[in-house]
Amino acid sequence: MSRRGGFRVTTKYDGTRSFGEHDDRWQQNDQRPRHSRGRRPWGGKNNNSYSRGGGPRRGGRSGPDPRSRLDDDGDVSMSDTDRGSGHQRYNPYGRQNRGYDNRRDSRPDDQSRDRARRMGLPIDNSAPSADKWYKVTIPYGQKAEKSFVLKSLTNMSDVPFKPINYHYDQNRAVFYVQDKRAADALKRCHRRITMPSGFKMLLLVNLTNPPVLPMDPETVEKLKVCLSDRYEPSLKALNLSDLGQDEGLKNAGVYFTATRTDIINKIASIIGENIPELECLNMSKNKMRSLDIMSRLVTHAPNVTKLDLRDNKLRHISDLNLLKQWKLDEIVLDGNELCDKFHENSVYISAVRERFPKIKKLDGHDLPPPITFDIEADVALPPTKESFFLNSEVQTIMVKFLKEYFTLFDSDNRHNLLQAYHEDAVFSVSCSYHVLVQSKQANLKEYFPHCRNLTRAIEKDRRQKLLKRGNGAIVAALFQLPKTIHDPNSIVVDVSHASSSLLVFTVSGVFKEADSKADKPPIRAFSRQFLTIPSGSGMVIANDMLHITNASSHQAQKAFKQLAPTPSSSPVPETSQQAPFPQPGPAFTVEQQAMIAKFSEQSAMNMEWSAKCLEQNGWNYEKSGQVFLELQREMKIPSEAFVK
Amino acid sequence: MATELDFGSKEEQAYQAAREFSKLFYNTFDKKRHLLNRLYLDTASLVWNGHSVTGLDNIIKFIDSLPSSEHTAENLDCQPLISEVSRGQLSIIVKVFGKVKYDNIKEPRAFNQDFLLTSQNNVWKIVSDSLRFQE
Repeated sequence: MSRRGGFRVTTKYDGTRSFGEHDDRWQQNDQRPRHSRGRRPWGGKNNNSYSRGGGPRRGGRSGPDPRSRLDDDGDVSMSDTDRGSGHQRYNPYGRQNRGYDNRRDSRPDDQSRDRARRMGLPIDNSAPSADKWYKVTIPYGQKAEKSFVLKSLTNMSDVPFKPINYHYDQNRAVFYVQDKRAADALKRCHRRITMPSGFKMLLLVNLTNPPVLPMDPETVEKLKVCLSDRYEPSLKALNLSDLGQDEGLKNAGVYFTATRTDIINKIASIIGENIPELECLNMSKNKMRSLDIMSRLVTHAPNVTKLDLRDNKLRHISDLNLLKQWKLDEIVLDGNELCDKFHENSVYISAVRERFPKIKKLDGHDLPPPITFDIEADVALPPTKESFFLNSEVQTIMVKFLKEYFTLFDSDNRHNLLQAYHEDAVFSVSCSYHVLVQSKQANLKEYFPHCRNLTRAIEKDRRQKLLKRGNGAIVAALFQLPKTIHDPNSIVVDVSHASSSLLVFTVSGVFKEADSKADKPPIRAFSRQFLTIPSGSGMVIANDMLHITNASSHQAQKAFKQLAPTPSSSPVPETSQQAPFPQPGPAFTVEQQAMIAKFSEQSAMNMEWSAKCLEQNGWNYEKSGQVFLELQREMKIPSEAFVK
Repeated sequence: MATELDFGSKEEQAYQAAREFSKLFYNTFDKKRHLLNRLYLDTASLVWNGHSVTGLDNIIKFIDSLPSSEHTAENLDCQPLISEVSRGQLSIIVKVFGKVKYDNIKEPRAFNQDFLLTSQNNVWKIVSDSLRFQE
């Protein structure tokens, strides 16, 4: 086959390719002339322009390198010494890639054929072209019914054809076929059918890029099926090799090419939603000239450590910079032009390591461990840990305290918090919109009147007025804040200072507003620094400083997701370590505490629910007992009430 | 024992200290980290996203291990400690909400940071420092 014969010329070229290409400068500046044979200095255009967009290629018209046409359609046998007169390099590929059979350009382009024709070059029309697309344009086709057009073409054409994406472009009717014989047959129908208007039907048939069809939900479902076929859960490996040839995708109307960022982005979001744990990704044989297309994959599949980019069309090691966020330990780059630029293996390894310092395996070969410096350039953050309680004693006190506090805080009557505060206690609240959430945030207007944000100019009088002093004033202030429902699973506690006379800790988490009229109440995030001092058997709050903002999208997603505790699970979901619900603390009087203990004993409910029952019945012990029996008879008491 | 200030004056003092502290602390943390040791008490404690570190030397060592940073404070609040707790020694608590960008880490983080400061020989020192990302 002469097509391949044409390419074989390149091996001769390959053999003589030598100098300059391993020079680092090539990675930095594409516009430098290349000194190897078969390469000419090119014009001022950054050759990245070749790697973007699916439209007609820029440049080249002034005099493309004739050899480049080989890559597109060429059946041209030229000697290596042949030189085009142009100064714009048209197609930088194909010369160096070793031994590929699949030399057809990923974006068959009728312009290149035209160019070849203009240059008086023969074009091989019999080349196999299963994956080539033809666009059939019928000027004024909009005036005729689709059924008429297709029916008469079917009758006239001596080859059956399958029209894809029949649509109108202004007054033209347009459709695609993916069959050269059908395309040629359609071409022969030119001016042979009479339209209802009386004019002859004109047919323009051109080689084109695969059509971009909209991704409707049905298509996305099909895409998901294809992806699950390509996913190996035991290895956390997704094989996206040679997507352009995937029959399943083609049947779904998804015609992948290396410029279809939309397809890859869709795939990325499917990965993000379904298999974010993905570790091995195979993107080989996708004809990628640039990795721009993969940017979303990097964010949606953050755990990828093994990547196969074999047999693509990447030219520059610097292309890999876009993937630096991946902590890769294995990569395959073989079969990309960029590999040929390195003449020394050590330089190649260093260049890859520069991007991926943790690389252990390159192109299937184990690498010797790198010799590094003691100061790590890429310092990572220590991983975030759970709550810090200092010790189990503090934890027990804390869990008890918080459980009580937030139960009362979320109740209809925050007055009961009066005794949780020292009589001289101090409270303030401030709020601000989330510093990182880019999308529109839920209004915080109910909090702003109470907000004491000292980064802004704030008058002394107002500032001092917003600092509430004394438990009465504090409870009154708490009443003015919207009613809340805290998500117990979101609560994190950090005890930063503990002594016999003082506990300093921060509580953070999310809540929603109980009275919110919104369909989906906004999720708020809070952080609250408490300072407590011992009081009797428990402790009282001396300082309470609350900050409210909107939840991050991750927090909002997680919020209130955990189902209500089942009997077997813990009654204290705030923390991983369990503490039985303890004796009621300072929020209850001594008599009340005694009453709760007795009630708990008799009803078998835990302290919390006993307290709740008594509280709701005005601390009338008998009445509480009756209500309890009644509710128990009606099976209205949740099982968690009996978990002690 | 110093004369007890009235609450208004304590608030004013806390306000002035917190304003200055929040600027100084993050400026030092971001640009002059080697000077941070002057801000913490010898017996200070730090809880950083659940990691507990106690003692000045350990705190400095821990902070040194973090990538270079750039903090922006969006919200600041402070309170004086009540007399029963402070017992004549002036102490305040400070709360900051903001964002921090670390070197080589692409996404900035939102953080809440709470401090307890106490005055020692007319110098404010950090008694406790608690930071958590909001994520």
